[in-house]
Amino acid sequence: MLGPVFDRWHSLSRGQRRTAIALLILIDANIGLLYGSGLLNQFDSISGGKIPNDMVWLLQAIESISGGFFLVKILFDDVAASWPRSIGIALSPLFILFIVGMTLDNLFKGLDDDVRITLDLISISTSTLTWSSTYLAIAVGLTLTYKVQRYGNFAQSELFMMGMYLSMVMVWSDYFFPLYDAPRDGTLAWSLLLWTVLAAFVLTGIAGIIIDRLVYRGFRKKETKPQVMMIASLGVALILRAIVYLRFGAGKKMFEPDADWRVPTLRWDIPTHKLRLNLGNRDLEEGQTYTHGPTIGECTEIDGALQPEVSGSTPLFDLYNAANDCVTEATTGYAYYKGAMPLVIFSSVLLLLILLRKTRLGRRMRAVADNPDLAASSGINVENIQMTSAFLSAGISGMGGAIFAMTLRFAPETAFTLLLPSFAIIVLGTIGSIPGVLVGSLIVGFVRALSSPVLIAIGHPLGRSNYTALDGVMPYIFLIAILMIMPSGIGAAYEKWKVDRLRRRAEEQPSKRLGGLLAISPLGALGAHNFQQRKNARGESMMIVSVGAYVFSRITRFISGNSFADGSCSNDCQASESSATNFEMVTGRTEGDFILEDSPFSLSDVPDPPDGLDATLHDQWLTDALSELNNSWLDLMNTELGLVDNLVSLGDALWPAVPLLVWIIAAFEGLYLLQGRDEDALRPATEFLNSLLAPVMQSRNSGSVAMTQALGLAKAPLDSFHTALYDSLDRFQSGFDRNQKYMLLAVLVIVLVSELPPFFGRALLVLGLLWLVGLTILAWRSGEGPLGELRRLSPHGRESPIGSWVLFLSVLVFLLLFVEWLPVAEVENHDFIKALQVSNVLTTLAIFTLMAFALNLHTGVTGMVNFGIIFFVGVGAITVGLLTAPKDLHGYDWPVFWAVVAAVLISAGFGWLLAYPTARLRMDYFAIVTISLGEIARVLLMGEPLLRAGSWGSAIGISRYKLPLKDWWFCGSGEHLSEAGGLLSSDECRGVVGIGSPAEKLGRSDIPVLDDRGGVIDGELLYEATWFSMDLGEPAPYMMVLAIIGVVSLILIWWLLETLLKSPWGRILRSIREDEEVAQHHGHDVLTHKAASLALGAGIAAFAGALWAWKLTGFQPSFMAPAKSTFLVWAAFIVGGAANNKGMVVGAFIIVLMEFVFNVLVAGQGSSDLPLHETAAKIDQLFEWLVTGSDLWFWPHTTPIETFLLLAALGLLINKSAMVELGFSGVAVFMATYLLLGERSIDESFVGGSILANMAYVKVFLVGCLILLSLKYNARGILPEVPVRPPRPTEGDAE
Amino acid sequence: MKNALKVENLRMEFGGLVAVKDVSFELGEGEFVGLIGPNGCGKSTIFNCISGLLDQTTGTVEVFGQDVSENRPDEIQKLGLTRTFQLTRLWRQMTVVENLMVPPRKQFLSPESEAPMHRAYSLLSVFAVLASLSVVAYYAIGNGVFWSLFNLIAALGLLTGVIAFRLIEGKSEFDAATDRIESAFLPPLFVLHALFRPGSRAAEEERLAKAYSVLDQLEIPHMAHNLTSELSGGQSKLVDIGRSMMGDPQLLLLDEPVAGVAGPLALKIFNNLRKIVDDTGISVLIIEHNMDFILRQGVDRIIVMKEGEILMQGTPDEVRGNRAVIEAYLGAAGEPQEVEE
Repeated sequence: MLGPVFDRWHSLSRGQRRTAIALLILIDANIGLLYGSGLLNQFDSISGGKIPNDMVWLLQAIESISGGFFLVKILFDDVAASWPRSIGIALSPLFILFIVGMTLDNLFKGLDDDVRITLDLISISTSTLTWSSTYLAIAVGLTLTYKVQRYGNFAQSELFMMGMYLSMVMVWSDYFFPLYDAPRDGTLAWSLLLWTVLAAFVLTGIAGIIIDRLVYRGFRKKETKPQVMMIASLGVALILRAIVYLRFGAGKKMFEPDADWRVPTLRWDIPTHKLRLNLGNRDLEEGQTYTHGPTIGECTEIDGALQPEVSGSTPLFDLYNAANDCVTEATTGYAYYKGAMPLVIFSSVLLLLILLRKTRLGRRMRAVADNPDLAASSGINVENIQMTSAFLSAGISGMGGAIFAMTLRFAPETAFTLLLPSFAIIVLGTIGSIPGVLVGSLIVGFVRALSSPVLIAIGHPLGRSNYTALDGVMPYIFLIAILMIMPSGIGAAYEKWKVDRLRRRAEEQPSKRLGGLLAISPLGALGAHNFQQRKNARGESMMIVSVGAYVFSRITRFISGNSFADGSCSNDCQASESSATNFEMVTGRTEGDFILEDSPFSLSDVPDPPDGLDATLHDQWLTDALSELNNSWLDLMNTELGLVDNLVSLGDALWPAVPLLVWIIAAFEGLYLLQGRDEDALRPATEFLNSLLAPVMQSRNSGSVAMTQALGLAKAPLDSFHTALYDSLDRFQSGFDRNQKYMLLAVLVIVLVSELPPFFGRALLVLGLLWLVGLTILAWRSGEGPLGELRRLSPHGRESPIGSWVLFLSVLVFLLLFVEWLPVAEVENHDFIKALQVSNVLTTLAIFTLMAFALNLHTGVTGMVNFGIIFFVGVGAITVGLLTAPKDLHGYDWPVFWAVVAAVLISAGFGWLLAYPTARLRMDYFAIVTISLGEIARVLLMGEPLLRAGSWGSAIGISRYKLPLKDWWFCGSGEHLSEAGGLLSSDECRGVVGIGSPAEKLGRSDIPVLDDRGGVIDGELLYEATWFSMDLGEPAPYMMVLAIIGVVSLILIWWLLETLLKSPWGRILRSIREDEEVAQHHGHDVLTHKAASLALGAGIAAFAGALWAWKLTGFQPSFMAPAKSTFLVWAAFIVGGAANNKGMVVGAFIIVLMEFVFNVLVAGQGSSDLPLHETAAKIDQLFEWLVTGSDLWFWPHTTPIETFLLLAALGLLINKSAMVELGFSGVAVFMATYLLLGERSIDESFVGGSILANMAYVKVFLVGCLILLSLKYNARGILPEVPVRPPRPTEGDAE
Repeated sequence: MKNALKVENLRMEFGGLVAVKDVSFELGEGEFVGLIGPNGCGKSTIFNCISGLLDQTTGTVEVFGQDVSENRPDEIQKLGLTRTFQLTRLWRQMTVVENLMVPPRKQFLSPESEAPMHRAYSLLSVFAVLASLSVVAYYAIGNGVFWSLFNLIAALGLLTGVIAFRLIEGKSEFDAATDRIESAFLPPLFVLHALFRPGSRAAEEERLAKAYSVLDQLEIPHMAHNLTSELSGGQSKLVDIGRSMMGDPQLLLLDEPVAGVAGPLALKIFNNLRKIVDDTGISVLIIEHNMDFILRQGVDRIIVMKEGEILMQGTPDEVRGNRAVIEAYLGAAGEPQEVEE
């Protein structure tokens, strides 16, 4: 019966089929929203209304919006190229906005509620500008790094952060402090701002070079894969962030170049239009009226300014001009300090674009980006270009950071919150395209600026006032949607369109006469004729020069208007009646120079004098300090005046002279065009310029030749020293045979063992013994001697199965000994606390190892770079928590086991589905999508009430869910009743002695035998001895159950994974990792295999999430922050060794132990009774040495600069360039720090001036170092992948 | 003679560049055909269109009578087509022998032999659905009157599962079927397969033996345990050829298979190919720039291309005598000449 229908269906084209599906989705969703009768509602009623109502409409809203996006996708994919398609694509943003509006409208109608969304159009534009320029500052740096150095730089936001802190440092400097400290005077001061921006650009740029040389150059030399560089940059990011946290603290700070920058009157007042959307139920009740236009108080009194009132129903939308006379408040103010950001960033990006397009440096950079080898062979110094690009990309981000610091209070992690949207932008704009990044940033900025008021407006009526937090994730959601439509971003689509257009246009010849006329008209100054003549590059140059001159002159005018330059008068000055100029406002005089008496400081501004001065000296000190302050203020103001004057005269010189000059050139070009002469009007000028420059270039070249020669001369003695050194080393080495060397090593180990602290000594002894026993057995088994036998068993060292196991077990023994050694803070009750600690370590280990397993399956084996493991972990934790929380606390009260099953299945389902939309994405894009998913989940957990359980009210997160086996553990299998007769809870059971539960049996050695109600049996107290007791003195902790569950499931899952990876499936996954196209050509359905791999990993991650939730007993959004989860798992993955599960165990173990050691250190820092106090004190001392150059316990009277100089010298001596570079970089960094950072910075950064290292950040620092060093010196991890090397089957088996 | 491959009016445009201009040709079963032409004349593009890597602009491709114009590469491969790439693309962080073992073997089975596995796996999926339904039912409906219903569903699910496993265990065709699973059929079931059927080790051993025998033929058994990233260019080519033979293809598309391979060995491989074609009746389409091989080593037919179009088709002798071909491509190689030994 259905046959014909199916036939008809299959006869439709793909586009028609998909359109039908999309429309069905759209209609179903909106019917569901409006009338509650969509498919989901039907399903809900079948299941007996178990689905929460909120979830139904939420899913339907998502369904509706996805339907809209699907329609756009069909337009892109299935409609043949034609003009309706182009128009459709151009209108698609409006269509999406329409769909969103319609969905919201239907949603509120369905809920019988209404919402008024008022959009201030100017305010949306200004915040679009602010946001997009903020993101752009990072995104442009990312793009440059991607383009030239070819990796995604996770540390880009940290460079931005460096810029922010540099601005702080400038404010704290002795030179600028008077300006920063001066009271408000209504006039902006510019010098601090300008110098800060410049300093941030240069210093961050230099930092970029240092980082590039120290870290990335080594990787480049080894031709490391971009993914590896990406992870290395993660390490750099962690290190930089940790340093800033350590040095400046986590407190929120702000950059104010001058007190006046934040005066509310200093702003542009822009008349605005407002758009009011009335969504949902629009019926007005009897007597209710709706007024068009502004509703601010007194407006209603003015005639003509307002539209008539309506009754009955409100209009859908209402656009009104808020700038009519009655409401001056309704203009939108755009503060000057906010405007600075877009101005500086957009103009510097334009400058960069010009640099790349028009200069020789730019051409070289593009050549290096295209093909470094080819560029090198055509005589370009690739390293120099790489350095320039590192400088520029870091510099621009740093500059952005410096100026961003003016707009918001910032802490070190502020920058990181901007990183992911910036990644979204570069993906959106096609990686590596700077125009794409400009457009992308505007789009993302707009999405964020628009979503913010909408979310605020709809949040309240929907009972989701936390939804304001969601505006931060809108860029990700938008990015994912765009990637579904255009898998290679906007830039690629634009390039394709441009190529097509050029090809079509190339066929027709432009008219020369029109071109000539255009050139002579004023439009010629904008290069219009060149665009008309298809000489776009020349046209661009002319336009840029003319417009640039105009913009520059506008900026300098603005600067002079808000400074003390002659006759200038700012907003404040115009408002005041008494004075006509800014200068008069401060000094009271109409003209002249600043004098000392104008200084705004009084005695109260001077800091307190040092203690112990007598009265006369005290007063003298104060007067001196004041006059010093006044003098430096005067200096500063005069410099400021000079600076502003120079800027203004430069601006005046450029405008209108430069555009006129351009126009003259254009006119010449026009004449040539009209005459039909095919010549370059500019040629004589350029030739003249070149002839002027030639001697300069020549002398530069000869200079560099001379320099090289001089260096060569200086190096000669050093070289002969190196030769001598290496010769003697060789002679020394060849003096021993192999056995003697092993002997020496053994002696060294013994010496070390006797010198080391007890733990390491013991650990080494145990390891050595094991090693000895192993060697003896091997020696006994074969006559070849132990080493020969070992080599035979594992011919490829740790890349052989046996070698890998041997190394794994050795490391594991070491780490287990470490756990045993790990001190605990408490002295009383030691055994119990230690048991708790060990269980805690093992549980955490199981959680992290499982996460690492999942990551390894996705990234190490299947080759999908997944930064979103935490998403699946979160799904697991949230599902388990929600399902097992009590019903009266918004939970579902499921048993734990089934909840785990559901969590694993749901997460696996998500994993499976993720494969489909991301199938066509490049590796980097996949990484960005997954990391975005993690962030979306985290923010949803903050804002979405459906994801809350376990508490009354609106506390965020999930808590009070069931913990597995907890009742059994503390209460045993019997039911125990309290005095009152009720059932004892598991926590109460723990307090009662004699229950005989597993916890008690394990923890206590003697348990009194009691009856059900805790009474003594037969009047006599009997004791039962348990033979397996750990004698902890109280019931064993619950964490022990988790540890057992964790370790057992860890082993099971490990076995499962190993079995799978050994099977043909593992082989297929590895072939997909290496080259998925070829795998597909050899008959494997790559997509499904990837989906299966994602699903399996996601399931494992979900189980890890469940375990994590149980360990934490309350799951908060903050646990999902990448720095606390994803990055740590990645560190474990890198350190342990990709594609080797044993490596995952080891890597996770190292990371987990690091965590625990630092917990002990934090405790030890405070009190001298606690373990590791001395270590903590030494770390503090080291830190103080780095900050102030004070004495170290083993290194007295040497500052860090001197130490690094020594290092560099040593490096020169033994000819290690890495050491030399490290030394000189250290010298540079510390020189800069000591120049910039004075006493004031210590007072501002450290409470009470006592310099202590915050151990949490020392840990982050070390994790970063671990990642970097591991990548650099042991790139494949401790336990690298063991390639499959099956031996040839014996003759009998193979026919 | 049936057609192994039929290309009709194949056209491929990249933006405005027309790489292949309405090309039509056929390849019979058991035929060994050379495809030659100057660089950039669209030979590799034709390969990419046939194997499903590129979607052609217009035209159709039939492999063993089936239109594959809209199929994915792996679906086309299952019809019996295997191809190599001009720039050798091996799985570089895997050993040589493992590279050889990835392609699924004996997958071009008749549909009948797949039937029991299909049945078993559909039963298994029924089990999975019923089991998950029962869980949903339990929590959606709650324990009350429907408790028994839940039990019934669960029991049914269990029963199906057991039957399915019996089916898998009991079938004598099992070993043939395992290979079918090892090809790309329902990857998640690899989990089950790997866990419950270590018995397929026999199949694995067999495949390993075959891999080693291929290596013997290519004279590189000593490289079996090296990573392919450690091989020289010529050795990589050899592994690529070996890998394409591992899947027992019916139709081979070889893109410059012996470029960079030492002369005598290349000749031997070429002759071996000829022998395989004669013995097993598979069809081969080969792109090769070494005219000695193409013109003198027993290729049945040659297709000459120029600028996206077919210049001529014919036997080696016809091609050698054609003036247009000599001008366009062959040059001196068209003249009689001794083969280097």
